[in-house]
Amino acid sequence: MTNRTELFYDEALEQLREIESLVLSVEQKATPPDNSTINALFRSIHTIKGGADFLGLNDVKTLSHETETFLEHVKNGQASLNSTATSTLLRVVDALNGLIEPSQRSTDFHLSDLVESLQAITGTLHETPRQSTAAAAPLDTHEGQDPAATRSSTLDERDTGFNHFAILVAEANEKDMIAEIGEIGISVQQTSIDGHNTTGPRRYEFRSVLPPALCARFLGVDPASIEVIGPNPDDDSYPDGSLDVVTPDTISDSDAFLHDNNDLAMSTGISPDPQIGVVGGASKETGQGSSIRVNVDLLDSLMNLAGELVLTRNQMNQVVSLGDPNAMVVAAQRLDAVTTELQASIMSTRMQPISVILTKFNRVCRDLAAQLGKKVMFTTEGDKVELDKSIIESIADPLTHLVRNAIDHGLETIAERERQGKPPFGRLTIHARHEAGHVLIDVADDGRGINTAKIRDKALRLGLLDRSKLDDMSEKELLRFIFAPGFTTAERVSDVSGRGVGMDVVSTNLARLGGSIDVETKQGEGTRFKLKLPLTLAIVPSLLISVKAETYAIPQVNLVELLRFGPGEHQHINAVGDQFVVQLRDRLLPIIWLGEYLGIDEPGTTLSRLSGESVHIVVVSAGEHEYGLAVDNLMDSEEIVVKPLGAHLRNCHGYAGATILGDGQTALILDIAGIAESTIDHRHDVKDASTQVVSNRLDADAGDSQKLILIENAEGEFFCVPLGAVNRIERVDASSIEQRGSRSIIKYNNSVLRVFELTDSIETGRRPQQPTCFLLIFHVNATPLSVAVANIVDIVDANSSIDTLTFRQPGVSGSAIILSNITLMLDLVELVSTIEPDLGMSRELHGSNLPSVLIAEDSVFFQDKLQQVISSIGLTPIIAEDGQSAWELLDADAQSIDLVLTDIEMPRMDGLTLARAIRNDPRFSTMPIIMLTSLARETDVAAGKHAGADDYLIKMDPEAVKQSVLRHLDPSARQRSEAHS
Amino acid sequence: MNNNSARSELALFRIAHETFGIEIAAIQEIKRAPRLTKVPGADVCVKGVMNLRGDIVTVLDLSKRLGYGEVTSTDTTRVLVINYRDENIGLLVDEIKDIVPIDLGRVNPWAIAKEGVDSAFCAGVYMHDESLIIVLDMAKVIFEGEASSSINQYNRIKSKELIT
Repeated sequence: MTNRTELFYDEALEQLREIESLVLSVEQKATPPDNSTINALFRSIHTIKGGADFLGLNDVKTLSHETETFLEHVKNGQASLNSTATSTLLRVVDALNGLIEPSQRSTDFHLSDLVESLQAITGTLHETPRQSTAAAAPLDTHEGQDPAATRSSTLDERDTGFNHFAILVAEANEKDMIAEIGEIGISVQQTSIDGHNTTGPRRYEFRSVLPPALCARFLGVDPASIEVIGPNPDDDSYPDGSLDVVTPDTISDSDAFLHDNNDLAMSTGISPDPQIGVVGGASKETGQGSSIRVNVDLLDSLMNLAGELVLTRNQMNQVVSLGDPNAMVVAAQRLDAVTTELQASIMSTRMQPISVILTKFNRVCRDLAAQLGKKVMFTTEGDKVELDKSIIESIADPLTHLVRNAIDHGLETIAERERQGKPPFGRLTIHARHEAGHVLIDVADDGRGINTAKIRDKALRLGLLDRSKLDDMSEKELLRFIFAPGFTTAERVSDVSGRGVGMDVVSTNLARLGGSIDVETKQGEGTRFKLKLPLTLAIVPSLLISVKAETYAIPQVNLVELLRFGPGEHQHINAVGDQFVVQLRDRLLPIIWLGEYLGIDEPGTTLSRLSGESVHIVVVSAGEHEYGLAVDNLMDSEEIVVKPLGAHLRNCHGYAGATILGDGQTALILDIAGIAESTIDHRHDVKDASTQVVSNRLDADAGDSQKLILIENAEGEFFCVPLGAVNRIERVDASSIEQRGSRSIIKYNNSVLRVFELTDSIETGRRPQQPTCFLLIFHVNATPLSVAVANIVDIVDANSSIDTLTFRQPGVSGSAIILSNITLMLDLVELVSTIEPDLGMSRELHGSNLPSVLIAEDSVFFQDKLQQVISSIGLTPIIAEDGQSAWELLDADAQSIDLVLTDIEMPRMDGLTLARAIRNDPRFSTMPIIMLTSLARETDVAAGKHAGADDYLIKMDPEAVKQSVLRHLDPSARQRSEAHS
Repeated sequence: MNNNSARSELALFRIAHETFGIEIAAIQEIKRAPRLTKVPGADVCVKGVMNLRGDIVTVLDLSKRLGYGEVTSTDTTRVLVINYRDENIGLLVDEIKDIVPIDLGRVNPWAIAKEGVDSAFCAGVYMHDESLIIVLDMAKVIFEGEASSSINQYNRIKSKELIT
């Protein structure tokens, strides 16, 4: 592509954007457009036509010509700019876009169709059958049919019109004259008067917006000497084929160049050469091509800085040759100042206002809204916020996706909105702003919001997580699913969105840029996507770290915090299964050993090196992932220049590029998002572990969490026991466990304690031979018993998402994924009773005489747990799965129940209703009621007490439950229980 | 055989004990091998990256690429910087030997694979001073389609030492 055509393309695309936004603004306003808008439209299309004509782009010329004709009719009041017209104009814009930049849009349209629709809205003057409106139809076909008189009469009135003149110039003052012509217009052609290029006056043709009289005055010549050839359409004196038709329209073609000269951003000086006129084109809005237009002030300041740099270099050279260390420091400081400023200035040349992409969404909104039968009011805020060119380019697609999503899924139809009492116009706002070195972009709509229940259902259907886990997730957590691959909640797939591709791509793309996305939603009120982006990608502040002798850079945007564990503090780092985690305040963070990840260290060797050294962990986050990178050394914080890696390294995950350090060495930049993804792809446990960390955190909020003792018996086999089910944990010498016949016993507190092995009842690996082991001591009917296990791994907060089916067997109440391991939950009492049925029997035998506690609880898990608690204090638990069945049990056997322990949230009948029912029945006037719930608000407590509860406990501290039960138990019942203990 | 014999120059270099040639026009510059920054996880033939006046240049181990062992860095080790598809790429060779004028028409398209050399990389052989020179096809040598990542092999670590 020649420079000239490139410039035309750049400019034409700019004009098209202008036209598009003008047309859209016309469409949005109810009132007919004012003259200035029409004029602006006219000017823009005219500019395009001029350039196209000049370059011989016939299709573009034809189309823009027809558009121009139409606009002229609008101007004259002969046609109106109604919705049909605006739609047609937008189609024209698309078509022209396609013609001018084929890569940008499809060229899938029929020129003749468009021309016809244009002529139709023009209120067609072409009654006669057209011979041809085909693509390459020569323009004069139309001209011939067009009443030229109308045109020529408008010629001189046109404020934007261009006239075509010829003037005879004597050789002597030729140069001056050319320069002067250059100042009032554009010289087009120079022909010698007799056709032979000899001496004597030459005929110059030029174009100018000025009327002939003014031209003459400007050039200082007699008006008569200027020949007006403009209105003559038969003039074919152009040797250049592209200019063969001279009509009033083509004459005015090149006014674009002149107009641009009026507001030059870069004053190149106006030259008679039309090309140079284009070079100085205005930078109203910079395109996304590979060229950047720079404000001349900025260029000047860059020049100054370059000068400064040269001076500093000179100073440097001098100082170095003198060897004066003080002067050297001064020179270095100066160099530092100059480079900082130079860097800032150069960076600012790359900065572009975000409006470059935001304005495009006007059109997207309009088209989509029309297609979907919705009304959308699109507004932008913070158009002037500037971002690096490359970032602007990379966020265009994600933003488009969000906008389309918002209109398609977010906003309701007009009817639906009206039903809900919302204004028919859906609001879509994009709001950009600076904050702490980042740019934040919000895409917000006031539509129906995201239905988290639907997300839950969908996640369940896709089998992403099981139901109990999903039930425990917070809204925010559920919302994250929309960024999972293949996830969509749309009931139907439209060609707009709903295929389940996109949001994950949006999220990954943003993470790649060092940005992130978050979503907030309120059912019925709307959704807000919050994007966070770095200002630039070219120079990034980074932390340099090292593994062995290699230095790597971690972009500061990814940094969360730095941890250092001294030689004696390694207990904070734990292996959970294959995954190393670090305990960081209230959560566990997965760790990736960078050396091993990169293959510098042999897998597994890091650990052995740890013993005597301190560990540095860089906590990083990228998008969804947060993890710790264990490195050998932390070095320095530096601003690094990002350089791309070569083609051979493109397939390497884990690097975002390379940079050159102060000593000239290269260092690789770590791609934090890429490392997370590549490890997760191949090692699911990293993700699981981090999910677990998240859910651990969630549980803390949810209140339904419980403490579990995590046990590893044989290698890789994990068990857990609710903390409340165990009275004591003792570490003992394995050798002190003695065999007596088939029984294992140990001396404990001056008595004999039975020791059971897990292998006695459950199919599992044997406890390895170790010098010491742990005893879990618990009571069955006040008899202490113990189970020996190899290792206590941790005590974790876990949610109650226990799978009670898959691994259910005697002694195992269920399974759960804890810290990414399948963990079997032990029921100790059941375990020992399967080994020694007598023990279990005795429990039941005693049971009939013991005071009974009615447990109304819908969660199987808590049923289990409460059962254990009640049993452990020597009472008989009776289970009811909701308030209704509890009431039925009570009603049926009024005498046998001594205390009611009830949950509040239950199906059929809740705890409050149950409590009221009990209190209102004279039979149970003294029945103690204890409420046990996760509703911890003051009002809940008050409601519970008001309903008649004697105590109100928060789930779930077994000790508190025991205390409360014993305290409220009727004295006679208490005696009965004590008698048995 | 091509009769429109064109003259050109061939840069001769040594890898292991074999002499190879590259058309000199393909070579941007020849540098003493600098300290390379390793790129873990990259293709085995990628020796590392280096800083060439502010440009990050991938350096390939030509010896390994051609099926010989890894280049061992010595005093004579050099990096040939080649511009290929707008990207500078470094090729690590054992020694630069000579630059000789050649007649392109006399380059025999490689027919028989020479021992130890993958014929896929060869453009042909050329007789020079009674010895055979293997002329390399740059596009094939540099072809970047084979990069694979070894990072995936980040193996599982099992350890209980840390569990208390």
